[in-house]
Amino acid sequence: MREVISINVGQAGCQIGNACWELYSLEHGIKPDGHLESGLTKPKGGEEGFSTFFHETGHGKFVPRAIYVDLEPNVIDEVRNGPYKDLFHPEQLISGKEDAANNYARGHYTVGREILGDVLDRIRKLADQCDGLQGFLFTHSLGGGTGSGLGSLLLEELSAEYGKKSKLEFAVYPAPQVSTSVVEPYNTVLTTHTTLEHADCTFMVDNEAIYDMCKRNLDIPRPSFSNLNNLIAQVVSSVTASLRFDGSLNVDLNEFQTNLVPYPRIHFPLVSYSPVLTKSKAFHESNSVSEITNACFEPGNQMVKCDPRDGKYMATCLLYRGDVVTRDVQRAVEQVKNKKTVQLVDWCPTGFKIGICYEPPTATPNSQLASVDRAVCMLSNTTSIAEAWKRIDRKFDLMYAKRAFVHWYVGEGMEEGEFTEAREDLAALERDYIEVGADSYAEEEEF
Amino acid sequence: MVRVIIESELVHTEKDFPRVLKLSEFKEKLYHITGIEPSDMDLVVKRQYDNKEICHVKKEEADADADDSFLASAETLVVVATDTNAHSVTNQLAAQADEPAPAQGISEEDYLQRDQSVLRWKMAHGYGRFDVAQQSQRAAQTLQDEAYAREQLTAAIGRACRVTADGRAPREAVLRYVGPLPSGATGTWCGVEFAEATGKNAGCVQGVTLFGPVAPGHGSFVRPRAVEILAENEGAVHHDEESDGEI
Amino acid sequence: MLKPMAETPISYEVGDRLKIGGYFCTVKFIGAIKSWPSVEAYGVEWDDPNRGKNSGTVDGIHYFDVDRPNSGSFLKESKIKTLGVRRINFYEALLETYGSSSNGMRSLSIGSKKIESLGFEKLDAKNKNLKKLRKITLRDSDIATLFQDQNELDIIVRECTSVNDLDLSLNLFTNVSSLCQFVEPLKSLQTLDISQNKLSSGWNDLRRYDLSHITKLRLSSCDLSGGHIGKLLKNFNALKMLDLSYNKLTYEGIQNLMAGVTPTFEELNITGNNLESFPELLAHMALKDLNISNNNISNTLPIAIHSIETLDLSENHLKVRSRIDDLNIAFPSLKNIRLNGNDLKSNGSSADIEDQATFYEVLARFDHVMVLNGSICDIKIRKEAEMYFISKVLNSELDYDISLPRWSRLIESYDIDTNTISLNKIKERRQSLVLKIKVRSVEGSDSDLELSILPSFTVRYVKSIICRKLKLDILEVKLAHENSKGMLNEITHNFCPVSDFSVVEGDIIHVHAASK
Repeated sequence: MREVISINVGQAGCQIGNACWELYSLEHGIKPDGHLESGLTKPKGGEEGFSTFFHETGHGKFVPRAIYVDLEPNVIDEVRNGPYKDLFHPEQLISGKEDAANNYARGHYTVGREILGDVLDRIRKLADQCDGLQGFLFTHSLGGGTGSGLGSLLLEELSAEYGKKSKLEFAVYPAPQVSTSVVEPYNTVLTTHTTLEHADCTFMVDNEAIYDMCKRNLDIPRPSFSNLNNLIAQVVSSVTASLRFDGSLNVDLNEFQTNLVPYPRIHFPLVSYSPVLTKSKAFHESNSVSEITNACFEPGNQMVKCDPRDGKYMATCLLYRGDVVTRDVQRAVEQVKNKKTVQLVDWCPTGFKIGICYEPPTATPNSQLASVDRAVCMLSNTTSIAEAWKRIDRKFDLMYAKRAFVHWYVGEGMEEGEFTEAREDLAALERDYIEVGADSYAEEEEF
Repeated sequence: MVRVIIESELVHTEKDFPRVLKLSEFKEKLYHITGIEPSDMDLVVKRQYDNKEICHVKKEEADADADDSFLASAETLVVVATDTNAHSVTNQLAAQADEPAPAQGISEEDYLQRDQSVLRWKMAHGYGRFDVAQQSQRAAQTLQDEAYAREQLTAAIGRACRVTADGRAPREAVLRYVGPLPSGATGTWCGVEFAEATGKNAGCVQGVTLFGPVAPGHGSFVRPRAVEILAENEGAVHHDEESDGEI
Repeated sequence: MLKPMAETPISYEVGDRLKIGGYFCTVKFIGAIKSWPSVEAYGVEWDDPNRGKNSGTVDGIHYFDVDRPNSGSFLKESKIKTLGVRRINFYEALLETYGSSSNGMRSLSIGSKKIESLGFEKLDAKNKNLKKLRKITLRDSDIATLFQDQNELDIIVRECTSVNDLDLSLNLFTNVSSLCQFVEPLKSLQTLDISQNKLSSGWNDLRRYDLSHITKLRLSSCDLSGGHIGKLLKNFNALKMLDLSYNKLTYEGIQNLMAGVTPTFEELNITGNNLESFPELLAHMALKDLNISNNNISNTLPIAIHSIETLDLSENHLKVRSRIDDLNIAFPSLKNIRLNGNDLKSNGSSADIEDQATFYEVLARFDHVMVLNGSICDIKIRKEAEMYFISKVLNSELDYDISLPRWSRLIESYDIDTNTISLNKIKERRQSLVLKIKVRSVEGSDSDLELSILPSFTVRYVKSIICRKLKLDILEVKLAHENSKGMLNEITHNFCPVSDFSVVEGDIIHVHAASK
């Protein structure tokens, strides 16, 4: 048994969690009340697979190995009263009464700490139900108070308590154009600094990139949050499919790290997913292996806005799902090879890996996503993702030069030194990415 | 709970608030979202579905706390918060948002000082430029390349050749150029023209045309060691065949 | 047994489909031409007209006809060979695709790096066991022949015992009889995709086949006429899903073929055809999901279809905002609708579907829609939209027919006092829009029929009302309009609103038999 516990923190984290568990349930044939769909005697995906994410109680009911945490009650109340209320045990849903007011320090030091003991208790209970816990999967935002503050606090605590167990994150990165609060850049820099040494692998998701995909690829003129979260869930599902279904590559969380992360600090792979198509287009356009593979190298299919054509790849994992044959994969990869825009860091000990999961993706009803026979998710550790850090660092600098709103944090007992320390760490991270891109000779072979 | 869409110069977000809330409490919450000081805050509260203004709380009314039911709405509200203080932090930030200013970097000394860095890791493992064996091997290869280019390739410009580079299958081409590149890469390079569009450019690098220009994608630059000159009778390049068999 | 069969010799016949250098074409002519007297020339018509060089004429001599101008060209056999072409059998393609092994994967590398692949040996082993294969994708695999003889078909049937989903799209076979013959014995098959194949032969000797095991059929972009599809579908008598997108089908064509459709039918995709109105036969099916986008639909059905929950009407010609109300009546169970790409004008001004006000208005006009143009709405958004809509209507800022049952349901659920003056005003205005006309039958001796219609009704709708009342066949009548000056004009365009023919209150419509 290689169980994974999902931890959804803060408003964005919980809402994405909802979309993910809805999709996981569909994929494994589990109804919203936790029982199997009629006609099934066991969940889809094989014993090994589904039990990494679901726990079976004595009465033929399946419960997600998941926990929801938020400092304010609204979002979790929606889970408590929503269509999936019976899927979870009440103990898995933890909410406080006082919100984090968009303040990392409140989530990390004051309000968050009050709820910490309770949360760790519930996590322990979930961990006790596991035979061979392999690690944790976080979903949270980097810009919100709870997501950034309490999220990083939990990561620290789990590091202390569970030592080397893997910790993966799906982190919502602040959208480049619209802020949800004025201090988003502070929260993002502070939480990234705190978690840099505790998270093993962080997959970033930028709502604006997702929004554009909904508009352009799914032909939705006015995407709602449900639309965005459904698409994010589809991507999260693709990344976790290898853990939940029989297949190969990344069969455990540790392998994500060994496959993708050459050096612990450089742990922010860019996620691309294809095909993102509406029902109307899906069967008119061809979805051959080489087309969906190619699409992954297009910036329009990425979860974060940046341009990998300007960067270099340290490591790349292509995770195929569904009906593919070896020959087609081989041809697709040969095409990728011949792309002049794909430059690899040749001295780096990681490389190019391809894996497959035989189960095709499932589309949630109303998601507008066509049910397709095959899909591919690409995880690539590229230096171009440093663009995302540059953007947020610059915003941080503008504010910090004026010491704007710093007193909100100091007022919650945080020391001002943490700002400069965090910012310097991020500057070093940017510098790290430059260092990764240096000394590469591969591209010198031909251009 | 009432859903409120908050708009300010710097922020656009959605949040649920309790329906009974004193104005001062609401302003305090808004302060932590928008960064606008409560004393400088000008608020326009509108109904979202028809944009009808419900109330306008001007800055000077800031302390009027009598009404605690202005959020008592069943419908989603839009609150537009404006900072009336022209010199406030938020207004300064808004003015600067589009200024091109690079993020502050880290000095090389400070970076060297850090225990955990990619640089330290590369040094410790002998990666990249710290790979001594590879460095000397590369130097030797460069010398070999130069000699090969000087002695054999320069005289063979215009001849058919076979290119084996980039881990790809050998491709037939015509050698077009031997010499340095404008910048970026050191040493001697060979410009080749492929029969098919299997190359990477048209004979131009960084705006400088070194041969041709040929059809886009038919040109490439490769290292001398990747080029093998073919005997005269070898490697027939059928360029003009294409138009022959079809009318 | 996994040994590929012998290669087919390279000799083509007129009518054969070829893929030459990546472009699809049909052989139209074989023989010597004036320019090349000593070689065999192949005259082909390209699917992509941009690939063509002429219309079958060279040196002033016309050798073959093309459907689209300049889509033809002549090729020497040597040229065809250099560009690369092949035509293989289904079984060859099957072995080639699913019998391949991952040996090549092991030697793949990018630059100096070896590419590591995992799970492909297992995948190969899984795929090679044809008997267990459930999904077979042989799209774009150069399949020209499905089976050569009964013996080969028997082998295929014996090998592919588990296949339930077969994708044969974008291949080269053309014979519809052999397709049916091929599918009939594959009893485990449920989903079949033959999109983008040109089924041009075998129609005359098409007998009846039992293809009742197929429940999902895709026939997208097959260039088939309504008659052909009708003929083919007679064999598929248990379909639940049918994709007929991009087939240039007309209203009559669709009506034709749907006559034989089973009541189990749930999902139909007829996007990208030439439809000017909803096929009326939809009413006789239990269809749940209809995609009729990218057509020329400008009106709705005069009947209510309760089964349809999902409707894609994007990229059509619905032009008036009140069409939405017609849709709400015609499809009372709608939960999910797409209307983007229609210019739904209101009071003459165009609507921006991205605009919130328009979005709310459109959403509120429907009773149960929860997904509009792909946006998933929750109860909260619906309520916002309905309140917005009510306030706009009450302020007379929207043109809305408050005699619609939808309005009474709306005001009931929000407890709104209907006795307001403004409401009555709207009612009055609306009333004045109704036209009372007289209908006079030419043949019959009956007295004039009085009819109340809206100017926005289409000619066809008015026809259908008249025919129902006079018990006539809608296809056999013609209408003419007599205006107040006694002039008689024939009403020709079925799908235009009657207002286009300046029909006003009190006018007389003449009904007479259409000449055959």
